[in-house]
Amino acid sequence: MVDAVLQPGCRYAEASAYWHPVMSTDTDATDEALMLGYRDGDAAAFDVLYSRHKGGIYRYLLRQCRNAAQADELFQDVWMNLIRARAGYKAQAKFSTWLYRIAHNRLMDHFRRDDAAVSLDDESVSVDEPVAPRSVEPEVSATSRQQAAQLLALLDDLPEEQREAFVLQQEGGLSIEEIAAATGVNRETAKSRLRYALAKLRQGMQAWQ
Amino acid sequence: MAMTPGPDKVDIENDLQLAAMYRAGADAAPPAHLDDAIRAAARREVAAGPRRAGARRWALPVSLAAVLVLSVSAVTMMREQGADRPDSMISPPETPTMTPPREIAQPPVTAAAETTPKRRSVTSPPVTVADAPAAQAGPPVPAQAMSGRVAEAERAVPESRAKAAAAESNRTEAPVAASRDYTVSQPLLRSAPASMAAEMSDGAGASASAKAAAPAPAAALSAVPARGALWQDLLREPPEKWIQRIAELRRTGKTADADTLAAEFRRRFPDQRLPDEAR
Repeated sequence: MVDAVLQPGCRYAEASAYWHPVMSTDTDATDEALMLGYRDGDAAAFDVLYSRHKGGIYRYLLRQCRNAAQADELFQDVWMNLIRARAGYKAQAKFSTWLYRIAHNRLMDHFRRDDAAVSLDDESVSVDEPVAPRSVEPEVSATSRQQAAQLLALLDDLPEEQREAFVLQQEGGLSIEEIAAATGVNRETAKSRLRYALAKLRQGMQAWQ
Repeated sequence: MAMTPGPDKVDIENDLQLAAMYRAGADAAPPAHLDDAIRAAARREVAAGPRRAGARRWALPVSLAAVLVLSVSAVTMMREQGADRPDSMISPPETPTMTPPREIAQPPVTAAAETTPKRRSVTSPPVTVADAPAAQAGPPVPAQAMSGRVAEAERAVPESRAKAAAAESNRTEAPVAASRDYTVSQPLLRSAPASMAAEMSDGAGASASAKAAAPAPAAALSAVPARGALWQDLLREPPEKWIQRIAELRRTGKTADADTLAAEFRRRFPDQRLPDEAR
């Protein structure tokens, strides 16, 4: 855990390495300051936080459960859990690590409860056809889309843990240590998973490089 | 100076090409209705009321303080109750006492207390003789005013009442004599009528009617200092002295006194053996 560093003129009672004394509604504010602001009753701070992380969390859930309807449900649960947990929030670690930990835990609950639903034999999941983007920017070339589709197909083929490590790195911007913290494993395990994932993806994408 | 990344960094963290390819297809987003629902829930939670974290922060100190206050009050109350309780409530009634008369420790016997038989039986030692007269005596009266009235009262005491008092004293004396130290507290004497007090204190008896009314109590009272004196001078003596005294009493034929003293000896020196000549 990160040691708390008390900064002069703190707006909030807590202080940490992630804390910065800025207005919570400021879009430059750190995630931790925004969450502390939301904890203390600033609803606007939540809007900024949500805008920042909604895409990453949604895609993380979508890649892992590979079902848009289930991803929607899980996505809502994750944010509702965060809202309920706001009173006890302490800026002791990076906010994104905490948020992805909540998402990971919710996902594990889902897997445990609906084991059959996440089976690879599920007809609702198409490995060959990755989940289509909801909006496609016009400037993205056809080649890029094909590359992306191929990469997502390869990603779907990865074991669950390796896929999770890669998605957490890409969507959450988490380091190896943070991936380990979010998934509840030690650093070496997280590193190994990520290395295997990258190796397989590179190998699968060699034709495109 | 620029640091060159290690093989791990290059291998795991710096694959920009893969990252770019991934981002090209990573534009999936949650539906708008979910956005609205989640933002609305966040605002509702804020508007719901005071922070629960504040209440939780106070919960532990408040509960600790409550426990502390309750403990202190309980201990204080127990101490106060212990101080109010006379020793006679703590010690078992059948245990004979070796200590000198505790006149100070005993609460004064008031008329109200004397007229409540149940409470008297618990809180005060069985006072045999002074009981009945003290109950009739009421609050203390100045001595001069008392002298005339007492003389009249003594003459007016019916004979039946004197007999009843004598019977009462005889009934209560027997069991208590063996187990209790006969001590009439000073406050009790003070609350009794002057003539009775004088009679009880010197044992000589002033008026004939009083003598007739309570011959047994007078005898009992005269025995009180004698029995107490059995071991008063032995209190600080070693067991050998006690044995000598018991043997001496037996030799002189004072068997009852020897038995009493032997019982006290056994109580005080349970690890000492009483020789045959003292038994």
